[in-house]
Amino acid sequence: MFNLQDLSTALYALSKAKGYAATVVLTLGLTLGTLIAMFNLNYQILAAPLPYADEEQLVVGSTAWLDKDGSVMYQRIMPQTMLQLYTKPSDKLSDQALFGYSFVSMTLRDLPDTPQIQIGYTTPGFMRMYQMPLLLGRAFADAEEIGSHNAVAVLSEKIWRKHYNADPAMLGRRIRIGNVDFTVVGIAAAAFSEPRFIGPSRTNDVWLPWDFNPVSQQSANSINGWHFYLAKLKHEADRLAFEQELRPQINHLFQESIEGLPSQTGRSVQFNAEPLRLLLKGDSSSRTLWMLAGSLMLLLIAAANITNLLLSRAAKQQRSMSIQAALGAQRHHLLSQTFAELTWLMLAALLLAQLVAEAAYALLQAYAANTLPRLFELGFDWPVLLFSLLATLLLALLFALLISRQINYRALQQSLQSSGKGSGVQISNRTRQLLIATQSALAALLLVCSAQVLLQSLTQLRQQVGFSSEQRYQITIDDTAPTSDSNQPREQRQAAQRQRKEELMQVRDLVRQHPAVQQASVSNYPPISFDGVYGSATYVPDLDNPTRILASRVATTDQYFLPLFDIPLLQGRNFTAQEVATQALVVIVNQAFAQKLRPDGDVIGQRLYSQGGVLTYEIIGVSANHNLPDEWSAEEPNRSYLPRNLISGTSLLLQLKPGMQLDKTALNQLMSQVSAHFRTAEIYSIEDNVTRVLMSNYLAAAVTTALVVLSFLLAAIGIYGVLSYSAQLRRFELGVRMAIGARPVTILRQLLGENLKPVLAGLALAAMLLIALWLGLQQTTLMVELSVGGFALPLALIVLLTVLTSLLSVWGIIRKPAIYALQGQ
Amino acid sequence: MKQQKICMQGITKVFATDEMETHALRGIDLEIFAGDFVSICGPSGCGKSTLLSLLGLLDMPTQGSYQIEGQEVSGLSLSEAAYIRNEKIGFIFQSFNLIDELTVFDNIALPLRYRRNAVPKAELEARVMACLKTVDMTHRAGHRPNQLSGGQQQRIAIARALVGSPALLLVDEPTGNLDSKNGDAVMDMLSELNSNGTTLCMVTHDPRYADMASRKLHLLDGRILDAEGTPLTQPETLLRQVAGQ
Repeated sequence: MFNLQDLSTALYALSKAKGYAATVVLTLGLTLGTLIAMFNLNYQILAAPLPYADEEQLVVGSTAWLDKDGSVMYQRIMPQTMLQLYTKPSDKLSDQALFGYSFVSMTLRDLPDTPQIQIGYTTPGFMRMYQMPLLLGRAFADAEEIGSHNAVAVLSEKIWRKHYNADPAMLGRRIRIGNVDFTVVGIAAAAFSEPRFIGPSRTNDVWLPWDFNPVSQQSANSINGWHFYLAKLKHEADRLAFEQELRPQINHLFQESIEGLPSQTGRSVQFNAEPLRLLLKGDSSSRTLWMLAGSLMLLLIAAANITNLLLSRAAKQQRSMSIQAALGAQRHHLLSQTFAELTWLMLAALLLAQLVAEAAYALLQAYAANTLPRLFELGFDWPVLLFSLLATLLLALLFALLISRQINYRALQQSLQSSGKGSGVQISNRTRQLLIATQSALAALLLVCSAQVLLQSLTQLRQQVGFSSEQRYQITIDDTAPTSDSNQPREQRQAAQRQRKEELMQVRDLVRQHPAVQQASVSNYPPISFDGVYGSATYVPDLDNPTRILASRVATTDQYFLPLFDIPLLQGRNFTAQEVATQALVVIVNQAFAQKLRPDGDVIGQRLYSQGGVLTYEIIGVSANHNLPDEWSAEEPNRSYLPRNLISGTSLLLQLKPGMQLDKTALNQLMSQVSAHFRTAEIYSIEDNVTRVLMSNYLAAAVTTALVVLSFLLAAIGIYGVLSYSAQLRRFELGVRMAIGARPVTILRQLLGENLKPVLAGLALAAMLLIALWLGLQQTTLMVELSVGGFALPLALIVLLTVLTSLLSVWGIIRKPAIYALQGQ
Repeated sequence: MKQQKICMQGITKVFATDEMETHALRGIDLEIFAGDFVSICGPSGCGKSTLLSLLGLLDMPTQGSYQIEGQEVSGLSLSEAAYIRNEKIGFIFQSFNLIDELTVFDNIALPLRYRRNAVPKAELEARVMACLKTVDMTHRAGHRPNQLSGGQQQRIAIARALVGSPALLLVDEPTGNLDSKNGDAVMDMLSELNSNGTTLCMVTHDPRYADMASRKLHLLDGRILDAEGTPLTQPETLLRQVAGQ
């Protein structure tokens, strides 16, 4: 198609048109790079091989908990009875394992700074199935199977390096987690890509045998989330058969376990064996596919821009083409130089795109690692490279085709004969109008969609979350006192709990007197915890209807909790000190809960009962709702506050005075005055906890802001490009009009009228597509809140952009005397 | 006594770039009276087109005074110049310069549509049709320029130049793009217009057509020559040049 001489000439020509070359390379490099990054992201989530052998045979077993009417109450929970299956595995399996996550952070007590760590409880099959690579030592073996009670641990390389100075002698040494000593038998290499069954944000620092999982001690009718039955099928095709085999067995065991529990009557569980990939992907692809669509749209806008620029360039080269044609150049000779230039530009853009994609990976890993899976596997990948090359080649072919169609070889040959008047590379009026309309429609689509998401995110970010978080801290307490033995008489256990509660209150009162502290409270959880975990409680509103059970998030706390977080009471009153001290049977509920009890929300004095009716609570207050949707609930859930049991995992909650700080040492000194068993585990900022929950909104706002700015810029460049090109082509005609008396303002008005027509046509097309899209989304589960401003503003901006670019494109012509336009200057 | 339509005194035009200055016109003094038919001849690069551009207010002089019907026009803004051009000057270009997208009728009507005070539709139609009749092209009113021959296009261009009843008709190589038969026809039409009182100023290379004018001006190196080839310059302009201004 072209030779080295063409490439050399093209390179020289481009060096003389740096602005043009830079615009094409930057526009294409940025948008192609974004598309490559988004493609890679989706490829990793949807199609890239998982880093485990025989991945298609790996399944994750859990059950859905179904209510009486068959509706799903909870997905992916594990009834305790499922453990029985582990001892009698299906013959369809080649391996199996149990896996559970610690609900709360644990403490490494062998270290003086008692760091908090996350624990994964598992059986040897997990390390076999997921090929955990060991830096040192060994994985769990049969000696760590269920029932062995072999206190060993495998550490992550991160923890080993961070807290044990990468000391190889750690193998065989003992570490203390909680109140148990474990012998380190292995260090898992950092290369281990741990399967993140409960979302991308949770990883484990230490793996312990299943026997040390608190869940393993629970009663047969208990049910837990964050626990899974992992299996490896002998044959991939056996998945459904395996599921069908276990479903009745597990439900049968569950039914046996709930016998005699009226509140559970009619409920069931349904076993599901999900392919590993499906579980790891979660619902992330619904977001990433939108991101891919957005980046594709950006590339289309950029492609329209570049088409304009390439056509303008071809038009500018008309004279040299005419001379070449006059000297006998064939059509392919003329095209070869254009294609050679295109090759350089596409190569440069491809290189830039790779850099942009790398930058995008780094940004995603820095800001979205907790919300999107497999981000750390983003990087160079052959399929992605192939996609990049194909996309570039496709674009190059498209551009080449468009240019070759627009170069009129016959007209070029004749143009020199007519004193250079007329053009063989003039782009037809219809093509120009089509380009403007396409550009407007694409830009409007992208701008409106981005603006809608941006406004929704900003609205969420601007809203008050319903409680104060500034200068508020959650201090997790490491209680080193021996845990109460479940074999102890109940009275003894209760007495120990009461003592612990009294000690905690004393710590709280001491902390309140500290000069840095404004307020202090104790609670199982703050309004939003550092790990997103919350306590839950269920209530029966009416004893005559014991099967109607309302679940709520519960804070077991004191009278200082609501004032500390400035949570307003809409009705009733707060707890009294007396009620807290005596663990009175009173409860405060939030407005959402109150409205479920009575539509008017007037529930003061109403009773709530524990399941089975053993305890009766009186509602004494109604608090305002929070406004902080999290990963568990998109709407405000029921919340209740009880001045009752402060169970293990209690946090001290503080509000510090402005500008004041309090460190672990100071807190430990205060705690040691009350109990030698209390130590500060970690200090978490509630503000950071809120930010973490809002991260997806920040991320959406940042991505859409970037999209809005980029698409608007591209639209501006593109519309200006095509209008400017159009004005240049019409320079002579405009000169004629000026020669016969058209004033600058008349020319401008005329151009504006002409330019607005295709823009408005493009906007109308975009509006129709948007309506169709909106109607389509109504059929899905996606929640879309439409904003009139987010619809009208982008459209108005595009019209304004057209006006400004029209002026700019013709300014060089109308501000000079008419002779310049007539002479083509 | 004939009415003075055009009066230029000491007109110079310098095109300056970063590297050099080109003196296209060097002190032109020119008067054109009502009913004149002036031809401007000279070799390539002598300044003919520049002079015609200044006469038609397509460009502004670097120095000197220029009056049209007694009104000083050398320092007008682009917008004011456009009004004067629209109302007092008609152009006929070598390459016709009709607008392809417009019909013959609309091409001719264009100057009237650019008028400061809108021309009523009926009057506009009447004037366009009258001009079409003058150039004998009434039957082509609905056609597009690319459906016409070169000679026909130039007749339409003449009609467009006439429709605004200009004080002066500026004609740039009107036969340059035409064969001799069509060229002769166009020149006959221009002569007839002149005999009916239209003032004409024409740039041409063709001595045959230049001889049809009532006055012939020769241009060389930006100056107008007399019959002996000596530059014609007003005394005061000469003084300024001597003084080095």
